[in-house]
Amino acid sequence: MRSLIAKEWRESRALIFGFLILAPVASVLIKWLLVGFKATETTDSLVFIIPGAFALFVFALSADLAAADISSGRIAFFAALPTSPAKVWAAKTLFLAGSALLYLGYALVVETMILALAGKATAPLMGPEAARMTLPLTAVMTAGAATFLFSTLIDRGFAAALAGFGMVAGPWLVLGAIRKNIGGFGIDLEAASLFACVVLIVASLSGSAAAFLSGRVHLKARLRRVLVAGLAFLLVLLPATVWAGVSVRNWLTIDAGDEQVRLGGGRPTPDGTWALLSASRRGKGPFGAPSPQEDWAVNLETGVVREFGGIGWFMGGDEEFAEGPGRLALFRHSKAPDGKANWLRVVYDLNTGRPLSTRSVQRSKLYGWTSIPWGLHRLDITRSPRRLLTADGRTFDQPEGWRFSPATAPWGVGLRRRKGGVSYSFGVLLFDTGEIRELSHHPHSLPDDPDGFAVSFGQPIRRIPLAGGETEEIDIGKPNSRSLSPDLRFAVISSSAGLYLVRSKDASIEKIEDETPVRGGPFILWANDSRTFLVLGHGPSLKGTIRDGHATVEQVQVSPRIIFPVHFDGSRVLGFGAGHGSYHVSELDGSSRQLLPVR
Amino acid sequence: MSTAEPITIQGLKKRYGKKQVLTGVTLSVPRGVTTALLGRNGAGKTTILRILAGLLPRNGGEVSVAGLDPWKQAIRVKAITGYVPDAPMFHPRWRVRDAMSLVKSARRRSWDEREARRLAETFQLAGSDRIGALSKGARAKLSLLLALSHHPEVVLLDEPASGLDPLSRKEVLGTLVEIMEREGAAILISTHRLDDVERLAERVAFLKGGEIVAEGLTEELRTGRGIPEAQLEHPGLTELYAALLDREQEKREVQPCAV
Repeated sequence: MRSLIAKEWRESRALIFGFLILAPVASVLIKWLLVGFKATETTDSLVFIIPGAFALFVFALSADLAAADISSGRIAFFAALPTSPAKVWAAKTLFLAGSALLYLGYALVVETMILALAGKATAPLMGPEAARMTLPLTAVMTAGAATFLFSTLIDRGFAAALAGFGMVAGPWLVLGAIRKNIGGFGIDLEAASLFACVVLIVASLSGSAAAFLSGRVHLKARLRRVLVAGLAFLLVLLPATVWAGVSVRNWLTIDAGDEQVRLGGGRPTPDGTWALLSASRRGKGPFGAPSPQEDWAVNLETGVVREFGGIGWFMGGDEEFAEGPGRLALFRHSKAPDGKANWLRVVYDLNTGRPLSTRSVQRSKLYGWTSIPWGLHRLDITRSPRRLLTADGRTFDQPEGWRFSPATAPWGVGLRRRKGGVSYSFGVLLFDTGEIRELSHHPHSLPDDPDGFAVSFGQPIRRIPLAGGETEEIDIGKPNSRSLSPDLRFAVISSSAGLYLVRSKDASIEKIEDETPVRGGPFILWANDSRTFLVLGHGPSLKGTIRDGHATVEQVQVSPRIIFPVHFDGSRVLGFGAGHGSYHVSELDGSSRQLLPVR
Repeated sequence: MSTAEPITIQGLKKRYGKKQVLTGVTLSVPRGVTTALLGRNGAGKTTILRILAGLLPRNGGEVSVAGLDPWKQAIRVKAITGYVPDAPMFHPRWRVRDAMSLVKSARRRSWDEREARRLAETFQLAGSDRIGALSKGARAKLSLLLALSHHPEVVLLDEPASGLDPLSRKEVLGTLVEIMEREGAAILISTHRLDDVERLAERVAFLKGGEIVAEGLTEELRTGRGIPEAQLEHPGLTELYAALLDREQEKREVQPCAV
């Protein structure tokens, strides 16, 4: 092997010495004549000079490595010796790889010295910034391997160099266009490019080896070489490409029952038959593929999962259920041919999972569908300033300096604004007059009467007179959980002193129980009727019923313990069970049914 | 050294594309015998040698070199074979010692450094000589040196003195004769020159139409004795034999009667 490598060195040393001189001379000339020493930047060396010098060297060396021996017939000299063709090929490959790496090191050192002499910073050449050269250098090595392959096939050095360059330059240009026009399908194109380069290097070397050995290069049978090399090339390229595609596809595909999937969110349909969840994967996938997300509808009776996947699906408020029971309207943000944002509204039949209709609407016309529920009203979040759409059809733009808060009443909406740092001031907007009344504390619930009392759920609880005057503090212990009913008429608050009911219409507070089962967190759930609620505890739970404005509770058993509740319909609760890794539908008698396995 | 017959060819066939070059060659070369393969240009002599040297696959028939298949067991065959092609290719930038070093590393233990130096001295080749600057004759000698320095069991020579001047021819052929007498290898020489045949070979095989049309001792062929009638009447043989007889006739006419 040593003598074979020495043979390659003997035949190439004139070329190598030439490039050893060329690298520093060209670098100095470029800096002196084209850029100017003063204007020279270290990044130029990283991005252009070093990769450029490396590229020229690799092309020149690899072009004739096999071609010269084959075209001259010298390959027959080795064929007549008891030396395996594999050894001859391996010697050429090792020589190419070793020389290229040594030359790269040489170019780096030379460039560092030239920059130092020019008084420029040299640290980036050796530091983390040097990683910027990774992709260009890998691309050059790919072109070098491709040139070596063509050098074996067509035994003409210059043509081989052109072919090798073309094999890399073509896809490079295509990738650049993809990145510019489509955004790369959400994949990290740099990572994908590096993978493609490695695959092409292996495929090219495999093809060259196959041409040399099985293609019987010493017979100079060109067609056979090409066929054998092409087959070997494809045998490496195709499986790798398929594997990459399948890996990305598998990452981007989320299936019900996949234990790697993370479930979150969760809203029930008005009829309580389905729960809407969002499913995603953590982290980044192969080649930087982004975390996929899908929206699922899970039938609480049967456990059937309807998947509504794809990038950009967006569930838009109660509008989802506007088509009636068993129907779901989903929204997708897509790009129209004219470049303006477009919305697709797709209505699905939940029972069959099939789409019933699709409509495309320009963003400017999607007024009613770009709003989200905001208490008793809706909020258009696509506008700036945001616009409140009241239940009786009026619109109010967010006052300058203020933001709408979720506290709403038929007559108005809460406001807040930042005073400085983490300090806020609060107020309410009266629809009829447009008046903004400033308040001392954040109103969490608003009364029926605009001159009544708002309630602020802090510690202590405060009753705030909307018409002005002193704020009243009510000590109910340290609150650890609270929840407003869907119709905002009632709030249940859990605190260290017990369980309390707050009536929004008059800001009155009533104690329900002396002890609360809740120790903290979102464990107070309301049924859609706004009269039935559930207080989840670590041990027993409490189911409450409101009649004539008063609440009574009874103990119930919910098992397994729910640590992430989603929905309560009055008789059963859907949630993420502790320690069981799955969503459960739990009855209030302690029985439950598992819906989806999830980590 | 193997006990099997050095070279055995039975019904050898070879085609290049649609052109059938060898239609069924049968030939054997015993140990210690030099056999000349005689035929016109394009008869297939080089093809036979390249097949024996493990450089070409065959399309039919059986071929054995020291009991080995030269294509399927190419490395082993090449280890015991010395092959001199008709146009040896060297890199012009190589020196003589570079070529010797390459062959030596390929042949490893079988390479006889002393023999190589002896041949280099005989052929007046210096290690530092640049091959690109050598004459055709010197390069032919170098090929011989590289092929013979490992004491091969089988020697395959493809027109070894082709294109050489008379002095170089004399040197090369003289060395060949010396080596043949000493080595005891089976030697197959392809040539189209009758004087090479007379000088070097004890046996001659005539190649025409892709097959061996006649085979026998050179002496017999020269005098016409010992050749079967059928072979004598073969059209290909007639042509070459006539050439041999003409030469014999010429010699007799020129030389005075022996005393």
